[in-house]
Amino acid sequence: MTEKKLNRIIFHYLKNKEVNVFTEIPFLSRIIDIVVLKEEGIYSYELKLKNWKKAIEQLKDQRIGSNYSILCMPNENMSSNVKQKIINELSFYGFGFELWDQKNHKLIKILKPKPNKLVNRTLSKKLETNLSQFQ
Amino acid sequence: MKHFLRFGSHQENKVFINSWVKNQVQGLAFNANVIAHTPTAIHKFININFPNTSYFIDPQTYMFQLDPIKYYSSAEKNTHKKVLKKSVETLVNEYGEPAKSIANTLEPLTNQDFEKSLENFTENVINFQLNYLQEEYNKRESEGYEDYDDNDSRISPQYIIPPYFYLTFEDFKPWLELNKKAYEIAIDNHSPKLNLLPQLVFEKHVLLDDSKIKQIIDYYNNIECDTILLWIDDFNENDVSYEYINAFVNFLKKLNKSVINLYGGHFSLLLCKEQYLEGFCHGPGYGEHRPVKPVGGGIPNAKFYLPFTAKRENFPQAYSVLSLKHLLSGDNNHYYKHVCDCNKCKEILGTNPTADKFAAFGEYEPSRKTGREIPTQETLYNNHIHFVLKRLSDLKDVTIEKEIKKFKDFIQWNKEHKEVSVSHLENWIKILDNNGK
Repeated sequence: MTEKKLNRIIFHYLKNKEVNVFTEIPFLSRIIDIVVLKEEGIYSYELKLKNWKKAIEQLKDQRIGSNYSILCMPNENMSSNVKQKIINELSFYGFGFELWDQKNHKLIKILKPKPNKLVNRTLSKKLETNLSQFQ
Repeated sequence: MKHFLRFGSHQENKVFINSWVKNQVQGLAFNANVIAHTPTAIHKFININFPNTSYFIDPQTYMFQLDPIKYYSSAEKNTHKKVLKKSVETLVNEYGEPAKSIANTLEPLTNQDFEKSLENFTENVINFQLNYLQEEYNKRESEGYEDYDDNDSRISPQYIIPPYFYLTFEDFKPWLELNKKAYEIAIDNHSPKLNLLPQLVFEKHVLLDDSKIKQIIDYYNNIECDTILLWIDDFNENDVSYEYINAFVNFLKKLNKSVINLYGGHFSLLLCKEQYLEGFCHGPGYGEHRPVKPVGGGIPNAKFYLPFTAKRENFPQAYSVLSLKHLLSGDNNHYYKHVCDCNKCKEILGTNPTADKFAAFGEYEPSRKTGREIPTQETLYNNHIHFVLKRLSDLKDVTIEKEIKKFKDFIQWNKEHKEVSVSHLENWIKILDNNGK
């Protein structure tokens, strides 16, 4: 599995469940892996195979334009110890956590994201504009 | 305290000539390649905007030690043959042998290459700094190109830097010897008429080698000069470990000369306050550290100078810190008291600094080239002006005690919020706190 493949799989999975799903959206010199536009706001997904610490830094940057931020990783080979560490760290910032179950082909919701307190109206609108511009 | 703002390219013109900045600039620094590239434009820039501001030119003689093909050549349009970049070609023609030979060989020079013609080379390097701008201006004027009205347009640098060479960890001694010889030639021929300042450039690992540091100290403590210009290769005050920053300060303590750090940031400012440095230099928003071997630029980022961390943070980080500290809540006393009261901040944030207004420091636009977003020119400009104005006011206002307290408070706050890296502040405090004891 590569990060690109994970991105493809999850993008199609979400696309089957939601109407407004976008991938690889530029935002403030970064690229957000997946963005889902829902009634309650913008959900940003950062997908990683391993480097979850880097993902948290990326989520911290994205949260100023998104209402909810979620880290998504493959379920395979993740020890419960690492899983707990990730959960603790994500909870600190109010980020969500979902694991991709390749066997059953579904996303398992581990941690529900809290609304980002730091979302900036101007930047959030900018991200919304980018959804249509870059898609 | 001496403070120099380094002019890196003409894109930065706007920052330097901003009326808030211009009137406060104490000194200017130019690299020789910038001078060689556009001499008349620089002449005009100095003469019109900074006629009474002192400046110096870094002759960049270390560059001939580096591989020309890798670091300062480009491919010819038609033949794709590698040739020296235009500005470097001008420099080697001005400096003469042995530098001139690299135009044909495209090979780095050895210390033996310099030994043969060091006297002439030294004279040419000094002449370039003294006369090149004026000569080029005079040429253009006689051709009728330059039109700015100016009765006495003669300009000359405050300091003259003899040829200097890069001291690597591996290849240290021969280049140190060459530095000595070049400086002695310059002194013999031009002291006391010219204000000659030696420039010392070395790899940062040298700081951890007592024997090499001793050799540097032994030599530079005994030469005829009051001030040394210092450049430690890619020494980033905000990033190096305690071991390095401590070795740096110990090195300064052992030198009995005034030192101007050519690439320094807020820590250098604090060292000036502690009188370990005489001055420091940087560009308008970058250049607080610089590698000797040039590296290509990456994707530009909007970076806001955050006084709490005393460094430029990526916009999202700066924004998050300020928001979480409730400094963008619309209460003007808060922001202007605790963050910055420079004219740029006031212009953008007005009487009620809010998160939405602050977004002007982080405006991005799509880039077709990169497929990403890049900061708008206006955003880069806003951030540069804020950075320079804050730095200029810090030169006057900062005290060590207040800074240590501010850093300690912020480290405590950051422990609870885990927003940014503060290890550099912890290192600085360890050093500055110990100094008082």
